[in-house]
Amino acid sequence: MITSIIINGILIGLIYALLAIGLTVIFGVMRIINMFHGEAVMLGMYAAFVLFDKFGISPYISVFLTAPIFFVLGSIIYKFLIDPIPAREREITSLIITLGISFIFATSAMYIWSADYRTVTLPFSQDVMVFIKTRIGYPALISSCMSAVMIVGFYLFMSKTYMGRAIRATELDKDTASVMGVNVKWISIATFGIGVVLAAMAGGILSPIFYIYPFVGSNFVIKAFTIVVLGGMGSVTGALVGGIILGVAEALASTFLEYSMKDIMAFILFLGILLFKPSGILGGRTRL
Amino acid sequence: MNILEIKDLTKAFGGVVAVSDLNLSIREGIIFGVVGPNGAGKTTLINVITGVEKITKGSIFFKGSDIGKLPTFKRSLEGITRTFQIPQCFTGLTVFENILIPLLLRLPKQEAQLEAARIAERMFLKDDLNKQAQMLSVGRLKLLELAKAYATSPRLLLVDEPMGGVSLDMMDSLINLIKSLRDEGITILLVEHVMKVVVALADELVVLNFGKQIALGAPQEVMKRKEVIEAYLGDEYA
Repeated sequence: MITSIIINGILIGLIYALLAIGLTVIFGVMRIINMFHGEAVMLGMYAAFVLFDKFGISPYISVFLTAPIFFVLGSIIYKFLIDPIPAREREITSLIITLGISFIFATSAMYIWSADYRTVTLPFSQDVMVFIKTRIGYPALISSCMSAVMIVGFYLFMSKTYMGRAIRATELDKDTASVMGVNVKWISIATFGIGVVLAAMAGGILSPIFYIYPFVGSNFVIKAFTIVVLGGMGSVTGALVGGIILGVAEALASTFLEYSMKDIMAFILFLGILLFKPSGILGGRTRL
Repeated sequence: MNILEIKDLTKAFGGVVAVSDLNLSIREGIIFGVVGPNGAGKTTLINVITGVEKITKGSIFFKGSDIGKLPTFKRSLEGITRTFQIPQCFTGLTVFENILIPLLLRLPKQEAQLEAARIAERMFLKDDLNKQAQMLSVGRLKLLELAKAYATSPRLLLVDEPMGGVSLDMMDSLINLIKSLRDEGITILLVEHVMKVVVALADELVVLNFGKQIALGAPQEVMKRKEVIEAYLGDEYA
């Protein structure tokens, strides 16, 4: 039984990790706490829902089709609403601005799609496979595998491409990166766009296994923050570790305690890590 | 041929004029010293040349092109780079990784690693490769600053007070290193407080005081001028 709980926890943890990577990258490069992150997840879910409902496009494909739109949306938000804020006021003011944007998008979603719960029901939504005596739903399995592939892809992007290396250099020291020839302004805009894309893709991938409603983002933003703090702010590997820890902790809590304890686990882990290791599990050491 | 020409350059911060109507021509392949008392505008001059600060008035030409409006990263790509007075190492990374970052932006990983090792050896940092950068002494951090700047393949290197907080032994190493960079063809603009070093290194020297140029010429000759002695020691010594 423990094995199946852990397997299920790891599977959901991989999706949580993808959810948190965008947040941690934005924080790492710009030291911005992006409260819009949850609403980007929500918009990703609705985009997947609409494309599936109207055109029959699977969410696993539509996440790639909508990615450029979310990149542009994120870039516009950064360029016109966050970049003009003077550097010394950016941390707090950007938090308030992104919170305001998230309210606008959440209430707009309620206006457009009402408060009804929506679902993306795929032809294989009820099918399961058995792996080491564990029943795993196909949608959860596909979503987790896709998340894992995207995390690996993002890791390779960060370590192998010019853009990824420039993001890392900017994260480490903006002034020095600039003197080394990195266009720090463009990198910041692009990083915010990439962060929003990752959140929206996570939302699209989550759409077959979670209900979709206008304020669903607030649930996910709390989980994403917990993972970022758990793994260490700014660390992609930390987000992966943090995501899996949260996924397994939630699975254990919902089995051995009460189902309602599942969502409280995020807060318990959040407080625990802040008390005992504020830099996070992988925080305090940067690696190229 | 002049690699850098500064014409009527003024930089003001509100009512405070840090650099005032400055005109300079720097020949390619020399060490050009910039000295002056505290507040003379030396670091501001580096900041405006690299684009960290915007020009209030005037123009800057690099290899004949006006770069006054280019952002910092474009000036770096043109071949202008700098070191910082207070070393700005990438905290949390090793010495090797610090040198590797600028190279990774230009070269494939394997080539970048080989080049980083070569630069580390050239900058006397071979024994520190695996140390955390923030654990280095001030002197070795200054070497690391030079190594990172050198890794960007500069044509004009602006070096901001490399001898500050450095031991006498290390000073000799730094002097030899800076000379060897010039001999390699890199033009160096050297801002420095330690006069012995400036006189030993500079081919040409400008003295600034309150943002204005008060003397320009060969170091030995400039340092004897009345207005320079006045600026440094006061009227009674002039």
